[in-house]
Amino acid sequence: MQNESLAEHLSGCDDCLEAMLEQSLGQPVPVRIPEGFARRVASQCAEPSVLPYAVAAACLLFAVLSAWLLAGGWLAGVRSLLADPTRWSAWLLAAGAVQTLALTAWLWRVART
Amino acid sequence: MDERAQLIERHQQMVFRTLARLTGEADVEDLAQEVFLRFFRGLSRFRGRAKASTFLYRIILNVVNDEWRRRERERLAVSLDDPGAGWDNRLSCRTPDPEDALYREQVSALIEAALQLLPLRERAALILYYQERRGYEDIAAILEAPCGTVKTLLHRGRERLKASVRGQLETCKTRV
Repeated sequence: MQNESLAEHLSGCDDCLEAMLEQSLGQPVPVRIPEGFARRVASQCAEPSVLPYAVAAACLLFAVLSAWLLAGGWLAGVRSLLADPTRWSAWLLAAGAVQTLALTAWLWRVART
Repeated sequence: MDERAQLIERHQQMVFRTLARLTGEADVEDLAQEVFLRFFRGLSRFRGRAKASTFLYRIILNVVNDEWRRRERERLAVSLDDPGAGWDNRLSCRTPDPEDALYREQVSALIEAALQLLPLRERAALILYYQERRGYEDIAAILEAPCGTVKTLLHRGRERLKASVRGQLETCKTRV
């Protein structure tokens, strides 16, 4: 079929145009995958750390602070205060509530990711 | 070879092929790399929810969409007054000269060019259906749309494609 007559036919014949479209779209385009692509990309995807650095640093800080407070006798004082609810002030309750909320939000975020 | 490299090898042909069709470009290595990097980053969220291929197709569409936006921003940043800006070369969706395409017996080149002019979702639906041979439900999962919408996208995309190609052929006829 001559090109001109092919063009003329296709522009007037819906079925042939549709068939041509389907055939053309159904044919995968040829692609060239570079040598070693898979290995190169895989090496760029570092395994995510199970324990994020931020959490590890927070745990370390907590351990150091606890040891320091224990050694200084502070924790014993705090424990005796917490043991007697009649001595709890509004500030202490507020701080507890804020900490609980912050911890819950953090855990929720960690669970989502 | 590690597990990741094996997974990439298993899907790389499909990723390159789909990217090439969606963008109309032959060199899609950078985009393919971005697709796999996003895939592994999001792997923990994906696990068990869908097929790996569905997740990959979804990422491919996002990557192409982001790339399109980036190019659009770049295009807007180029001054129209700058004669050395190579304005024409920045547009990947140039329609080839219809007469030339016909004389080289490349009606498929017209179709390919017309495909690039379709909105991304219509283009994606057509490519997933015809090239990738995905069913309506798979395409619906990839496009995150109901099956009815997928059918509409396919119908509309086909009609637009036909109208566009027919328009080009008419232009040829008047030129010949």
